[in-house]
Amino acid sequence: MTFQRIDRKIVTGPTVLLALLMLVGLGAVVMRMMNGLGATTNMSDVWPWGLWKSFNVMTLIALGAGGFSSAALIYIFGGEKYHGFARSAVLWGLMAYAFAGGSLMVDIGIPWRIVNPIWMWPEHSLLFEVAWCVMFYLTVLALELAPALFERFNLKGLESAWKALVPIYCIIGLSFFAYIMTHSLIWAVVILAFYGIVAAVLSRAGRKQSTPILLVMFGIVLSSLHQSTLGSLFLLVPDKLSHFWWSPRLPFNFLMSAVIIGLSVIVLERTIAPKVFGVPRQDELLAKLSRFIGSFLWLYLIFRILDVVVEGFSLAGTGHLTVAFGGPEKATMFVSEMFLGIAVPAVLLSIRACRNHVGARTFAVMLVIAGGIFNRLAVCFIGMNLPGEYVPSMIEILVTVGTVATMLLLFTLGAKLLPIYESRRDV
Amino acid sequence: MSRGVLVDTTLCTGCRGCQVACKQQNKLPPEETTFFAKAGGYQNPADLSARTYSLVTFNEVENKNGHFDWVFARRQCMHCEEPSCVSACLVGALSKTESGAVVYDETKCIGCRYCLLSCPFGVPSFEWEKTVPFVRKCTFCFTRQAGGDAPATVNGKALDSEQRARHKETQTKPACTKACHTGALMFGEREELLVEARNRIRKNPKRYVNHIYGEKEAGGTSWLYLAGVSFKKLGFPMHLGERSFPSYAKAAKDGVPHVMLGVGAMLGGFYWYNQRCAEVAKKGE
Ligand code: SF4
Ligand code: SF4
Repeated sequence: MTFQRIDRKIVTGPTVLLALLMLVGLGAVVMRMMNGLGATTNMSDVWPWGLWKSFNVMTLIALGAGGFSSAALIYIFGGEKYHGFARSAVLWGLMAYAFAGGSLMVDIGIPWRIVNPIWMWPEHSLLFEVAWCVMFYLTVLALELAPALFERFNLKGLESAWKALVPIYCIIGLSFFAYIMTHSLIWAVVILAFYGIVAAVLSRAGRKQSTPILLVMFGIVLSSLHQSTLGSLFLLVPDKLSHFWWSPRLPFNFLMSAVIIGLSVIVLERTIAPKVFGVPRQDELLAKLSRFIGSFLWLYLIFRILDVVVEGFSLAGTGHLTVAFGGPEKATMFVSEMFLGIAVPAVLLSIRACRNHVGARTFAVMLVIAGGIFNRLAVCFIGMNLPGEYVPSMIEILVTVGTVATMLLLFTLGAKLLPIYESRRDV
Repeated sequence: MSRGVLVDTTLCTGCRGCQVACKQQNKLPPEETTFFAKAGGYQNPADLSARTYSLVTFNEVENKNGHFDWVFARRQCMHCEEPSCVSACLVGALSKTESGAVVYDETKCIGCRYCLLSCPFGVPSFEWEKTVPFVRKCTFCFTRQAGGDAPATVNGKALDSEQRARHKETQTKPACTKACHTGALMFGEREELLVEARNRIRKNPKRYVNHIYGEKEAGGTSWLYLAGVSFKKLGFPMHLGERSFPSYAKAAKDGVPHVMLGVGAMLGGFYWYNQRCAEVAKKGE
């Protein structure tokens, strides 16, 4: 598989528009920095997490899950045929994670202290785990993208150094991560030994891969952890989050939906890319990938419904059923999410004719993505049973719009500067 | 031993002495307020905030004769036995001290507000209006509690041992409990306070509902409450259950190294299998 950059003009109408939106977003960030959170957002002591946490952080990270899901598919589960999707998924993931981190700096009260978790280690905190996972995963994404740079600038020396050092970095990284999460040297040694053995065994198994398999594994381990832990964060609010969304199984729901959303984003991206970049259309592959998504959706749907049923039974005796689930509007939202965001696309993607039809397929994955976004917003604020209400302020919305615009802009730039998309003759 | 406060709401007269003492102790700036701004009437200010760490709540409760009684209660940090806020904080800015106080270290805080989100009692407040905001909440006067012995002399007069003991007792209890003149706030060891609370209920079953709020709620809290009417009518959250919230988080967190092993083994296994298959297929060609 060879990749090439998109040889097109960098400045075009749409990129100018994106750049303008980026500037608007930047302006909003400046306003927020100068005037403080109270003056520029609608968050409050009762609604301490708003649009930025829910969309810019939680949703973006779910949207960026395609990086690890596709890596798992391609390198681990033998989906070689999707290899062409790898780099664009990683580039998109890099954007998503970088901007999730960047947005967090806007959201937290004291932006320059975002580095504090690097040297303050309360091993019991779930948010601490997320922080470290995301930091590490950003380095993984960057390392996964590095070959594109090596190719582009012909850095043969660096490339062999990368090949040699990356596995070591992964093993040490995993072991260090285990240590700070548990504060236990034993765990650190166990993980070190385990991945050392894995590396030794796998290095003998079969052909050479373009990406060191340990890097892929590191990325998947980190992603499984933080995608699920973003859900676990809300295990601390069983009293506030409606039990249509809250359950002790929240981490599984998050992991499953992250995989589904991530793969759907790849399908969407691969549908749009031929139009804007002129890369070859790959309808057959997309139909196959959509079939996966369809099956996952069924699983996810069953899991979510069972989840709520179990929650209902376990609460039945306590007399707090209505308090826990919230009013009819919560029920309506839940049913809509299940129906429009999961069931309808599941049906569509299970029908061969729909999968093969660009319009129907794209419609289905867009429903999945919309449902996924709603799910993250619901868990973070819409689904909360709290007094009053929170509606994001203009500044909050502008920052979010600016963030998305900047991500798209940089992604486009990346695709035009680096070999991200597969060459035409390879398809 | 971990300390706590027993709030006997049946003794509270709503004088707000504790609320004022708290303001003084913590040197908190005033707040512009209005009566009847929100339901609650004379409750003032309406809610806890970064400038109000403790608040006497005014509740109108219908009595047997169909008339309304004022019932006063109190809100401040409950200093949970297993605090959600401590479990939440990603930099360890919040911690539970051995004496029971849940304390905040503003030199660590990044302002993520996960503690606000996670608190079952809606306690921590954020300095929203500031450009460098911190989290604020009741400290259980842990600096007072840590105070040493009484000085040998006060105003040039030597203190005898009894005076010294009294001095120490009043100077090391939380400001609100020192201010309370009706005995509605009783400071002491949590275990002893629980015994005291049970005694009061047993001796006076007509006066109290048979419920010590804080004994079990969300894993238990250092602050305990007695009341003559259902706590629901006093605005206390009633659906928290007895399991501490951090125990859910802990279960998830403890799984981390196992996930690292499990996922690693699964990925490695699949990879190896697929590679073998490819090899075998090649040989077969
Ligand atoms: S009441 Fe809230 S702020 Fe106080 S210790 Fe409990 S969780 Fe923390
Ligand atoms: S706002 Fe500060 S104290 Fe609260 S959880 Fe975040 S870092 Fe910790």
